[in-house]
Amino acid sequence: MSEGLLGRAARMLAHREAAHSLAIFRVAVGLIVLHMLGALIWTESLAPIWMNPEDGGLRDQKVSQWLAVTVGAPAPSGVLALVAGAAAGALALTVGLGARIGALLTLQCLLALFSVHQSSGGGHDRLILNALWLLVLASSDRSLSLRSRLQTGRWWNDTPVAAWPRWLAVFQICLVYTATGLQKVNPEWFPWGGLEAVYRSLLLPSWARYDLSGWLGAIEPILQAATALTWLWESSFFLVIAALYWRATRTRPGRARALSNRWDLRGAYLLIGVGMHTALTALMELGPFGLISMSFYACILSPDEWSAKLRRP
Amino acid sequence: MSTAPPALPTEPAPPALRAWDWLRLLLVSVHIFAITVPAVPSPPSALTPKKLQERGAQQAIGGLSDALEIIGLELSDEALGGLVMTLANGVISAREAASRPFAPYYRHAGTRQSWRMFSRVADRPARLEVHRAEGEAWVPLYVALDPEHAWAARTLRSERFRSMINNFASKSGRSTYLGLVRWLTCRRLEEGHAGERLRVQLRRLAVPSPAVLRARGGLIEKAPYWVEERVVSAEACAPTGLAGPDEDLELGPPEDGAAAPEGDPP
Repeated sequence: MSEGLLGRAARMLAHREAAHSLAIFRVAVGLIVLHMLGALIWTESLAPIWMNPEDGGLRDQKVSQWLAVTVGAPAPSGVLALVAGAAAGALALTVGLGARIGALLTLQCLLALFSVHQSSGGGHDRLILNALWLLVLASSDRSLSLRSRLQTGRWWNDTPVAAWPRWLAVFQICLVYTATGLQKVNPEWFPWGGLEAVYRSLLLPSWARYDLSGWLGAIEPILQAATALTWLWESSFFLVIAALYWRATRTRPGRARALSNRWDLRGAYLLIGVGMHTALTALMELGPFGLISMSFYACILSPDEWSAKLRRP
Repeated sequence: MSTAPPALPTEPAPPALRAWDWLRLLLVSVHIFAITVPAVPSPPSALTPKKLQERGAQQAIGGLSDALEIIGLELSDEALGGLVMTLANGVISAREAASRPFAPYYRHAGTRQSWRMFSRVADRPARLEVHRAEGEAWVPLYVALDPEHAWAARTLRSERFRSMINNFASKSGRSTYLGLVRWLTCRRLEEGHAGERLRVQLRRLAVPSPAVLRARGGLIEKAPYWVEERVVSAEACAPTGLAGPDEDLELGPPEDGAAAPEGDPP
């Protein structure tokens, strides 16, 4: 008797695979959090952003998040405890020892820290939190980890783990791009607004890394093309999920399936993504948004693909 | 007389689904629903007839009207505006109602986000400027993006300061701005500039069309606003009487509400 759609879905979620993709994702997220915390110290922005005026802060902070209250933020000892906790968890993630606990610790410390001064963050804060939550749910330290090295004597470990956290990571990044694309409905993103969105973005003093006003007007057609490409790429990013499905069912018929598998649709989307984030990071100061976005790409490639690309015999 | 075909070897039946398999399906489905609902496209806040009269809204409706005309649907801007307002506000209400049960999940797992990023890119941004008095003249200490006037730039150009300063471009976060002015005054005091006169302001800029930018070679500078002058001293640096978090900033994901000003934060 057929199990029906729900039964098939339940059985699909029981699928297990090697942890390589999740492990690369884990290492990337750990390093990004460490880099973010390091940047706070390097730019001397820890006290002004998160502490009270008597401790060097910009304004009185109102704290209600449970952990922030518990550790006594925004007092310096409380803020430093949250930073230290987040860093310790991120280190555990990076080396792959107690990764789930590390992810939970970092997640809760960052939630507390971000709650203290909410107007100083951005989408990357939320994307980092999403990544950490998925790493709480995933057995990501079965491979490419100190845990694997200690338990098996090998860095790469093929022990299968639940695959669904990787699939949720893929869904998450597809949701981010598709939602942000579909919400770009203002004229500057379209021909009737002159396709000026990228041009204007690069001139915003809040985000631009350099003053480009001297020559940006000279490359108008390139910026218009970049605007159109950005919108199309973001709004259609959900096709990556379709590409993964078509890849998993490659023996079935269908022209779109055949085309996607022949040209590897994922590759085109990832290539544009890497190019776009690299260009944006070079020209704009958007914090770790590009890096955390690209860390999710690790989950779009299957463990077998990573194994084939990276593993030494 | 027909004969029955030989029996084919059959694959062993898969193991029966356990309760955990069903529970996992439920939890994963709930997670997907919970993160998708806040990301459903809609305006950052409810539309009103007044908001529909704003330049950006009028441009968007005009563009949509032109696009509809191409496919043979002709609606007046007024009628289309009303339709857009009804639909958008309906989506906002439904989205809020659907996401309300997940509030604890969002709070403790950090999973709520709308992913509204750069949906509107400002054509009238602002830049932070800090000047010190030299006789009767004001000499720039810090001008955003100016490498020759980069006092305290490592901090002021850091990503978190940029997010905060970006709010000021839409005249949001006045209380935090006054805190920034005080903090800059303190920094000058720590560096041994007691008695110096300091001026902090935001310079409104206009982004012209690319053709005009090519001819001008730069952005159009408008009048400054939120001009604050201080004499660098221990009194000006005192933290007394500072307001707390700005009431005009929504305590939630910035891209979801009022704190999504000129050029939404990325």
